Amino acid sequence: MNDSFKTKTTLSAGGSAVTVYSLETLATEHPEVRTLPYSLKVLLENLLRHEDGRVVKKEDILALAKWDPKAEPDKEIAFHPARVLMQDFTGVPAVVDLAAMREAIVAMGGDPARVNPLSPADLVIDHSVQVDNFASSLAFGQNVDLEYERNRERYEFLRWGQSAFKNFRVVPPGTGICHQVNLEYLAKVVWTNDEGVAYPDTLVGTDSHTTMINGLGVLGWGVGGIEAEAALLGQPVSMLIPNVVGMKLHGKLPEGATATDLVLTVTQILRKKGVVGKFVEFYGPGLAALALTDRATIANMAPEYGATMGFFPVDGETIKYLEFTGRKALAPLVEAYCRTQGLWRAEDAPEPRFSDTLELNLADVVPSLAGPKRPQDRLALSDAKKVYRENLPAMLAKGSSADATVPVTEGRLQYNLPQGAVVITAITSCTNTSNPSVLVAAGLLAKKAVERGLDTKPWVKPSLAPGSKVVTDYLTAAGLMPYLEALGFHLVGYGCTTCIGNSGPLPEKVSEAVRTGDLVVASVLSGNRNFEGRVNPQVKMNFLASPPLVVAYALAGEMDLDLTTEPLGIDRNGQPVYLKDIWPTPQEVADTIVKSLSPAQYEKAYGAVFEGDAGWQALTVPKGSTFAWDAKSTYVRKPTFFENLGREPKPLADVKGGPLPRPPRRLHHHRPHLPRRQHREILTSGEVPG
Amino acid sequence: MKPADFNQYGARRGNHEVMMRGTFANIRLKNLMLPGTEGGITLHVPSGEQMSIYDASMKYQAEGTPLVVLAGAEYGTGSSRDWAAKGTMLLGVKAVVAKSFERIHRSNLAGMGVLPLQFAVGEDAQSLGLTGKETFDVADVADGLTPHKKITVTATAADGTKKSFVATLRLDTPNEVDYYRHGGILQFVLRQMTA
Repeated sequence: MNDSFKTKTTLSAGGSAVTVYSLETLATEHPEVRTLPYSLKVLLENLLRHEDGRVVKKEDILALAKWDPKAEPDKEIAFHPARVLMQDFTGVPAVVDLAAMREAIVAMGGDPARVNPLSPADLVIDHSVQVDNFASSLAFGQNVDLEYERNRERYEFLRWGQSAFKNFRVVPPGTGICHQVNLEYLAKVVWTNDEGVAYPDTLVGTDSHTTMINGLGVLGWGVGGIEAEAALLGQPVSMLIPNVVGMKLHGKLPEGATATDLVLTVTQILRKKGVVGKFVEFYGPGLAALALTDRATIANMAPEYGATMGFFPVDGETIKYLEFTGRKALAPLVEAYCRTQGLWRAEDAPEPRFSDTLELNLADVVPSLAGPKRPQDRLALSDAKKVYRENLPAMLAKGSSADATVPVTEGRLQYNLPQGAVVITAITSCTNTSNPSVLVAAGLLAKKAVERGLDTKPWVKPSLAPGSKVVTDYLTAAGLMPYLEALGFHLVGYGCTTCIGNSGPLPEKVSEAVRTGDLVVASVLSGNRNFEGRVNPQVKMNFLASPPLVVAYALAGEMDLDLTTEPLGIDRNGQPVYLKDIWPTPQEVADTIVKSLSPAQYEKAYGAVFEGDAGWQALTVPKGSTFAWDAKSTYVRKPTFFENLGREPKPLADVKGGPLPRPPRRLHHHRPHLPRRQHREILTSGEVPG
Repeated sequence: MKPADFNQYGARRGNHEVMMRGTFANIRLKNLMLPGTEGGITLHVPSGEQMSIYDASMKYQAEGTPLVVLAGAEYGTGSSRDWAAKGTMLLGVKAVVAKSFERIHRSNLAGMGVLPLQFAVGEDAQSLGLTGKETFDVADVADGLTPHKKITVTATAADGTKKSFVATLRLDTPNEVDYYRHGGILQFVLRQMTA
């Protein structure tokens, strides 16, 4: 490794000395380094530490140190992430490739034990659980059983991988969502390696919402499977030095507005601004008023606003969060390192230089939803009825009308399912379930609703799927679970569920009514995406909203209702109940959090995080340094990438036309010449291979 | 397999047999070899039959015919693309000639040992009068590759008419040339592990 700028120095922190690649040393010669955006400083340190004269050159370091905020990005650099985060859909093929590489190395006469991830890799199983059962205290167990039944082959394979590979850990099913587990447990903010070198935590993930960790000052984003595999094999991720857009926040969220409303507002503004391919970095006095979990909520939706990242620099709030979530031991090094490296956000620090800036006064945020089809289409709650009515005509089936209803009989229960019925209400997704303020608000709203005698409409499929076990712990400690359950929001799983389309089928009678009446029905979920067909094939309108609004719509049961002016229902005394009557105050939310959340909950949830439940432990774990493939499996097969692989590469050869005399022909096809944006929409609508 | 056992498509990403069949299966795909059609179908030129891209690929592979993709602008755009390049490689595609590439898909093609080539500015399959029914020879590879090298591609039509055009090699870094030379990034790393 080279050290052209002689930046390798020693830092004493928490009683021990670590090696640091000092940005301050570089800044003595290149003072403009001090006013780089924090996100670029992290990248710059990455280059300094990996300078080898070939993959990372002195000129690459200089190009980033002398970054011109206004220049069109054209300089490619090699970024070496410290670690890799995977979810099970995209992670399984990566492990399949590693397994196949082990066999290939045996065939080449090598030692299979040499094939391991070179960077630490964590795979969290979160994408497979489906909401088959709900609104019952048995739902969680039943859904987990079904998950194991369906995915046994994949899970046995992953358990083999967990025991066969070094540097590779698997978080078992039923534990949480990868981004929330990353935020609450895996992330270290500053790492130290075996050689005593301290460096910023950075990662690539195989899921687009990897950016949630930017809320904790950790650099990272989602990449395709091949880049992730390359990264876990120690290869660099190639990228352009990006433009960085600064979003200045000031003021404070007003009463009634939540972090969800804020992220939907940010998404709308930034999508309009155009930040595709750029970093977004948040700055300004408003940061002081933003809890770490609010920052994580905002960072989470970077793919929806189009940015590569939505970065929040490390500050006192970051330290507070690490301490609260059971990572107190990390705090001294994180603070000392970040302060020394100029990575610490202080109130009096000069503002970084940005390619472009924009501002948001948090006080302007209002209760919001986004939909019915795109996450950037934010609307004020007070406009929801109007927006529903505007969108309905184009979505109506031929011959159907806005006031069509379908009579439904379920046992003794009879009702008319209306056009615009809300049939799915899901408290789901890492975006929001990582944020206690909105979950506690949902619980408090449920409590007040139940106390007034309100209930969920009979056609609604409610669910609660948090991204970690901490959530149910604090909701239980706060005494709020019974109220959520009274409205049908029973725990259905710890995983992505409805947010990635694993909403499970609609109840049979509802499904049948939607089909026979060709009704336009809706879902309201606290997720991050809502493209048509993503949530459920029968549900045409999908609205993203905060967890308390999800509960409110379960009570309302339809979109054709203005929750700001019309009652949600009638109480036991015949009095109308309005949303504002049962909306919890910020003080109630804050008091409940203080009373019900504790570091002990995080320590308990993550103390044995890799052990898994009885189902996980009961799986048959195949032995051996190579995997015994089952030729009949429809889930994991040995790929053919490495067949007949020799020790030396074959000489380069021209590509020659096919066999003669029969004229050889070629496969030829075009990607459609769609405008880029439109084409993206088609392919981004789910975690489906593009 | 019974519908009850379908589970999710994403759960089968560990099975290349499923994923190969899903590559180029986007229902909006427009293959200009079959004007007016949409979806993952193509013309198997020797037989003149229309069939799925997967079936055509299997036939071509059995006949020993390597494949080329001629593509438009921003080729490979999409968000979840781990199988887009892997599937391309497994379908027997050796080179993609496009007007332009989506950045990450281009690097993934290099990482899977598929040659990314870019038409000269202002040129594309239509302007060059290519129909996709020609035989293609890609020269200038055997004598060594460097980033952005000019590569001559010759298309020979059924009647023997030849058309040559110069494309730019879109292996953009020395690292990518290494990946390609080894047949892909995983092969490259594997050989380093045995070294």
